[in-house]
Amino acid sequence: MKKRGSYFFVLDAMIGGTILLISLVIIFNSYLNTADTKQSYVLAQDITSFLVNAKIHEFIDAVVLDMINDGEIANIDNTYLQQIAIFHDNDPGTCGIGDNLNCAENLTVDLMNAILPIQYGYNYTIENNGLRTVIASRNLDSFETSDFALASRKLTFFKLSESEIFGPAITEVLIWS
Amino acid sequence: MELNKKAIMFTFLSVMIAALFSTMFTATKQSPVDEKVNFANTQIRVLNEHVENFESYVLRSLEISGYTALQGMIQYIEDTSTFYSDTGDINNSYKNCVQTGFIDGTSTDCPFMTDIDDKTVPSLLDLVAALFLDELNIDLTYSVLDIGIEQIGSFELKTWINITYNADHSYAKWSQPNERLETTISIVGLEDPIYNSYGPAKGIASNTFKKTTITKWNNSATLDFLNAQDYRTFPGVINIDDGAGGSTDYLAMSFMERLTDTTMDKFAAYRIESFIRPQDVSPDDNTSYVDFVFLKNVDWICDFGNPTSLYTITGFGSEFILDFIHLATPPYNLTRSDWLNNGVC
Repeated sequence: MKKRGSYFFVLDAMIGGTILLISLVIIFNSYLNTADTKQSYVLAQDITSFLVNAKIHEFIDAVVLDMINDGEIANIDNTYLQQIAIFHDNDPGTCGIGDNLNCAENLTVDLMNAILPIQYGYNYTIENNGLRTVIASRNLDSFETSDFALASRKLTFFKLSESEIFGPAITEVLIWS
Repeated sequence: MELNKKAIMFTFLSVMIAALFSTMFTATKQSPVDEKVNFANTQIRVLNEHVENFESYVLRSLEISGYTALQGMIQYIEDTSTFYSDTGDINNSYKNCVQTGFIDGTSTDCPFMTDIDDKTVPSLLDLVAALFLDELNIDLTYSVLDIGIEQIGSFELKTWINITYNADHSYAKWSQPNERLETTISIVGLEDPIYNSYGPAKGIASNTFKKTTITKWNNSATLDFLNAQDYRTFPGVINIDDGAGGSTDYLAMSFMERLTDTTMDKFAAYRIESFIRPQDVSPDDNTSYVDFVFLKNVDWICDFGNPTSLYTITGFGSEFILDFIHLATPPYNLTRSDWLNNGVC
């Protein structure tokens, strides 16, 4: 009879422990979900910060080097955000890199491939004079089923010459996964 | 039966402890409140970036508008053959051009300001205000209180704007009363008013300001300077005997002085000059080929008092003439043995 009693105590303790464990798992899982979104937000901010602040001469890969050598990028002191907007503004046609993408799209695709993990989709647009233009995108089909989507918008303007200004325009980078 | 009661009690205790822990963790998390605060903070930070970008845009707009206004003001001198009376007149015209597109503030067009695009500051700021409202849901209102310009270097001007602005968003509001924003404008690329006004009579239509890159001067560098038609600072004073017992001082002119066609002591440190290329003009044997005397028909009087004031220089051609001050003023001084007083006074 005493032996049976100890079984009960062990069983009770196990039931209690299980309930406690399930509760903790539920709670910590909810924390993990929140952290995931924050991490993605930081990623989106980092990408737009990179575009706004990084100058071309600070990050030159093979595609960018070709653009410089071909004269398509004239000023390597421009930021990437500026250079993409300049390409967009000049409508330069195709770049000599072996495909039919225009220069703005080519540069954007190259950059985003370098800085944004492949599991994320993106859509890079410039709105200028009331006209929204999609510069480049990835995994557009997955946008509708994405768990989260984050948009980072930057006021974009710069001097084209002493008496000419580009913008004001809005550059939007939409990221999702 | 006794044991069953104990078992029920222990089970009950376990459930209660689990419930207590669950409640404690849930209460500690407070996720709804934290997330709202974080979201609001993020919104405000992003909006703050937009407002800071607005100030940056104001400065770029002022640079674009200011440079175009100066182009227009120089064109106005050429169109009307009238220089500005003083720096106050320059500032008024500049402010009018930048704010209204009219050089007098009401009816006389400031050239270039509204020719293709409206480059007045209010027009440029209206563009960004509309964008803020349409795309960012920020209601931006502003009022330009004052605009001005002054010279701070031989090739640099400082321009400023006093502006009040308010930015309203559902998450935050900004109110910035009477903020002074300053930036610089280079005169490089602007046309020289002295050339525009006096040049055509000499056969030169115009010249644009370009700062020489030469830092070490010798005969060869000076020849390059002549051919490039660049500008350099020149602090010297040319004193010319008038042949009647008196003399007159001639000074190089700063940008502001070139807008007024007068010299003012406060601009002494910013005075610049260029050389006239002989092939661009009709020959003149009685003057130095520096812009502020050549273009303004200042001739040396050879018969009275200045017998050895003008020289040709070995390697510069027989028509290019410089005065003694330019030949001898450091660091621009040319090799003494190359000064040739062969027939010029």
